[in-house]
Amino acid sequence: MHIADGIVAPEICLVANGATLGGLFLTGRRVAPDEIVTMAFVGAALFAVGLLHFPLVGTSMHLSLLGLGGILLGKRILPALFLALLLQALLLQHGGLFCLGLNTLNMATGALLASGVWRTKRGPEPLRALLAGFLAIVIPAFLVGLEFRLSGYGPGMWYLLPPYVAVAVIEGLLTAAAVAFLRKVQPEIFADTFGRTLR
Amino acid sequence: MELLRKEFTWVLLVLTLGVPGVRASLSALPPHGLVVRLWQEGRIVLVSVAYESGTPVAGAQVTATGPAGQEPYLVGVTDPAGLFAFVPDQPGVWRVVADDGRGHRRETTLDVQPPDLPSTASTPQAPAGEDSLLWPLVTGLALILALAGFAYGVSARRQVT
Repeated sequence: MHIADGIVAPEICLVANGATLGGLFLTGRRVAPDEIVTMAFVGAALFAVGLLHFPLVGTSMHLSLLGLGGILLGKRILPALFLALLLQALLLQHGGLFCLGLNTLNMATGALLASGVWRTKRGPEPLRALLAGFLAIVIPAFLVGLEFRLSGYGPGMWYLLPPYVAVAVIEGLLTAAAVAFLRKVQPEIFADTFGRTLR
Repeated sequence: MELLRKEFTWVLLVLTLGVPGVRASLSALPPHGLVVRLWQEGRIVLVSVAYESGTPVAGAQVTATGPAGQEPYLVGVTDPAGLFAFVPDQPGVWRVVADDGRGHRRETTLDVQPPDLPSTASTPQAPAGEDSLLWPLVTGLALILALAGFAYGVSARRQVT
């Protein structure tokens, strides 16, 4: 899902970089100390989990934990994700620096949508967590496909989507399991103390 | 002031030590990192692009730039075996960039010899395996920890004042 430099039209990258910069300004202000701790360990998890690859549908995929990140951080996922993607680009060559804003925007959109689904409080919690984890992968994958099409690539780019749908199912199940686990061992992580500024 | 909560420290410890361990245990699976090899056979330079597991990367974009030029000499894609070949127009250090189109790229150089010399120059192999991933991982986690500590301090001081 990380887009390298020179693949997508530079105009798209520039607009996305601007939007991400604005988003960082809006979501990175007045962060409470407790939020920083959660942001740091979610950011660390996002950075590190990209190294765990597995073969799927004829290619190599990795987990992202975007859904869980969105659930735990709400809008604060944007700065945490930006930092994780910046370090992935600098240290692991995952994604380009010029496209950093675009990559951040793609994935943050999925994570924020996951956060929205989680915070509707409608429906059973495991189902919301599963849906959040699923959408956090499918939406960015769709955006990547759309950006490739807008950059002049053929309709074959949509064939990139099926592997991501398979990953999204796995992420959804993992997110539901992680939420159930955290609810059991550390329920305060979902408490209003974090929701105060995160929502 | 409590700088780090206990569970935060544990999470970072597990990530720092656990991920490379799990990664090593999954070494049979194909990871993303690219390994690019260049070598010369007579007038031809051959390019091999594979993932660190050894799986060839078909359709990877290969960009070759000559010793003098800022502009690419040619751009092409690898075949199903992950191979690409081209004929350089001059000796010197050539730069080859391989990109799999999914966010992973690797730059490698080759000192191309004049074709009349019976030499086959091979570039140093791109670092592969667990060692190449461990240090970026540890560096990244350490940077996140350091930034979080700094931001925590600033935020806590702001709350006090």
